[in-house]
Amino acid sequence: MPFLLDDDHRQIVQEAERVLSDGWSPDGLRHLLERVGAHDDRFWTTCRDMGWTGITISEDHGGLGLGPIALCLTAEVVGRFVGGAPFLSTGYGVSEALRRFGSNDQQGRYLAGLANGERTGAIDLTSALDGGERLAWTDGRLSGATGLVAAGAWADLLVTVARDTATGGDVLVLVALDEQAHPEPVQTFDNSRGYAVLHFNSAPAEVLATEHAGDAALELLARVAVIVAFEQLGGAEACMERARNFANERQAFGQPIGKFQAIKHRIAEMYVANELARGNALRAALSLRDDAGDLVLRAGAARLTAIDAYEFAATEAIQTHGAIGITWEHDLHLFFRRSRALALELGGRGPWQDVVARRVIAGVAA
Amino acid sequence: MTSLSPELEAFRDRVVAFMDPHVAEYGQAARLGLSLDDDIALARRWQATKAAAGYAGLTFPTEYGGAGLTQLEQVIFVAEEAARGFPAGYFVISLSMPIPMMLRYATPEQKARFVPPALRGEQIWSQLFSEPSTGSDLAAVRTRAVRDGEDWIISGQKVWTTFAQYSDYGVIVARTDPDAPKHRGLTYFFVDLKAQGVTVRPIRQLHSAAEFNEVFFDDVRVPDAWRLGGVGDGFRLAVETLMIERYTAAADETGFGPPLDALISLAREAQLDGRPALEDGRVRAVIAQAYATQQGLLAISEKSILELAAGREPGPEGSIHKLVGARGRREVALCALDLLGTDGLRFDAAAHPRPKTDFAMSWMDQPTLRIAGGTDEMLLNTVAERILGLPQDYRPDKLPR
Ligand SMILES: Cc1cc2nc3c(=O)[nH]c(=O)nc-3n(C[C@H](O)[C@H](O)[C@H](O)COP(=O)(O)OP(=O)(O)OC[C@H]3O[C@@H](n4cnc5c(N)ncnc54)[C@H](O)[C@@H]3O)c2cc1C
Repeated sequence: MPFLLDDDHRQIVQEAERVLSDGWSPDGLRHLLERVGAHDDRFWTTCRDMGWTGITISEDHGGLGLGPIALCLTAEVVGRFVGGAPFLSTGYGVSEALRRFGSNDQQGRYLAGLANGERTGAIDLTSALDGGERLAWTDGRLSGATGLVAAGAWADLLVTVARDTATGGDVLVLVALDEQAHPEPVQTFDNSRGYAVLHFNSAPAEVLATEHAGDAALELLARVAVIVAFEQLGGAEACMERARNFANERQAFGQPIGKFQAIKHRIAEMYVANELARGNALRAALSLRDDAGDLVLRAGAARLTAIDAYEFAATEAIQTHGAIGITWEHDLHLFFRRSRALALELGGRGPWQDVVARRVIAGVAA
Repeated sequence: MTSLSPELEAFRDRVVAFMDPHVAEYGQAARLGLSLDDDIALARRWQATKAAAGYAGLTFPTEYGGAGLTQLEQVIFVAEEAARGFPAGYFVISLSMPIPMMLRYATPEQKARFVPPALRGEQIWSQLFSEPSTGSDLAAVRTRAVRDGEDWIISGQKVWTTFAQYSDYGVIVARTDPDAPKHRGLTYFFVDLKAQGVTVRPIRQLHSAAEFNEVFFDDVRVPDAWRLGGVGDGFRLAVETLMIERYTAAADETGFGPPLDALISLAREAQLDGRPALEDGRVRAVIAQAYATQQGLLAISEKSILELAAGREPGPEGSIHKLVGARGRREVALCALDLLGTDGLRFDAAAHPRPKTDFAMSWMDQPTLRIAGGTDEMLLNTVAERILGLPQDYRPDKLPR
């Protein structure tokens, strides 16, 4: 019952918090920002050692078979620590694509590697949001360039939606990112996410789905968006806590600044935004688990409120800290960067507002 | 929700089966355009119908006409009631604050006398806390109660008293010790609003209906037996009353104003830049954000139900509802009025528009939501202080004198 965490869930969260506070601090992230195409190996090793890479993958394929709720909660903790690699969410996108659309053979070939973290996955599905430009797929080969893909600089596997040049229809494909793909790492304001543009020149790609491939791509994207909503929520919570703690300690005009309502109310507003985001995220997680309800709509609501909550918390936490908050040495800019990175990499507010509006409107008889 | 127990799902089914045949008589559509008086009369009949079927006072003890169930059934019932637009709001104050306080603190005879008729909708109760000189700062009330033998004599003025003009009784906080520090000198009573010396004057609100009142107490006699709690204990009890209120917040009947469907239908008809407004990105953004906000609130309510089912107190996150609901309502209503263009100006107060069905009324009523039952600022203070542990404001009233 994910709305109320049970003991197993609580344990997952506590374990994750324990390991990350021992072995990882946002400090590790700072130096990553100055390099392009870097990610934090230590963080990733922790993820692998903890089995997080295989949380949702069945035991048959070497995973933990725990289901998406456990992954959501883990993502929330990772969000609190601004984890230094995007593979948890992107890898989930790839393993879900395989679980839902892959043949036995494809699952056999790829899932075990994803489960133990030897292989990493990336997704390029945002074009499913708005029918944007796609890669071209001709006779089993992929050509063209993607937009910025999170984890694109390092991932081994990519799931994307391409256009079948023969039929003009969509096709959901899996492509191995070996020599055939030319990742071009891109400098961004959050370099720890490994953003890259991928260039394909007639690279062999395997078909996952052709029928309703656009819808399938959107649903996969929505699934990943739910995991990311938890990561965003974790980040927002961490910012709120930092702001609160600072407001309780920092003195000005003979009193803690938390006594000034301009400060105090802003932190209370963070709480309000976070709780709305949490409500939606939990609802969407239930949908993920049960394959029930309109997942895309619920994921959309979760995403919109999570974007709002994280950006508000990150921005206003900096404001609450005054000048110290904008220094390189302070952690808050890591959250600030990450809040915008997560808001953009799965498609920004606009296209998601459209997706949500389209579905809400369709639900109301003309 | 998949997580409610089969028993509770069965309860919900029974409630739905009970309510559906009454929709034609008491539902949203039947109430359109009714005057306040007529709507209250309808509400009394609905309350009596519920009482006859054992659905009034779900959480109240059976010996006083209640059903002896838990908050859980209550929340489920109220949600179904709200979904059908039944008129229940007029009894929300009575049954959420004064009567539960009476159940906690009054004598068995008093309970037997007052609780059953209140449940049947025969009596309405008011809450007389606010005064002209004070609202947010509840402990600053000036209305005096002076001991006179077996009685107290109350004099002073209350204000913003919702439904006082329809009320038979009320709960009141009055100052019994002017020399004590302000939080200590108050005492809590219930009062007969039809008694000698009580004058009720309706106050017209900005949207022109008069739902609240000034209430004057001119040497009104109250027997000491009508005192709840100890002398000097009034502030604590008043705060306890407001805490009980928290449970009902989630079931707020007025919630978000007209449903989102209504905005969508409107946007389908209206034109912007020569195209249906529904295709306009600004309109779609309002729809999407309002939907996301409403779903978030719904999830918070559902979570509270489950907390209750698991035997835990729901968290204070319930206080988010009013704050967020009022803002969401504003966004949606402004969008709708904009789409209506100059037609958005239409507002016929004489037709008694209701916030749930009329965008202009929803917008006109929005400032009310931000003030009644605690202002936005006080809500944020509560979140900040009680939930987040931030320090209290500078409080010169608490400095040693
Ligand atoms: C429709 C309606 C129905 C009502 N029904 C009832 C009723 O049935 N019974 C009853 O007793 N009362 C009732 N009230 C009164 C209501 O509880 C008060 O209006 C409310 O608590 C605010 O008090 P006030 O109006 O005196 O404003 P004030 O307390 O004077 O506030 C004025 C402004 O100052 C701000 N302010 C005050 N203190 C602080 C602070 N510490 N920090 C920051 N800002 C602050 C407020 O937020 C507000 O913006 C009702 C009010 C309305 C609008």
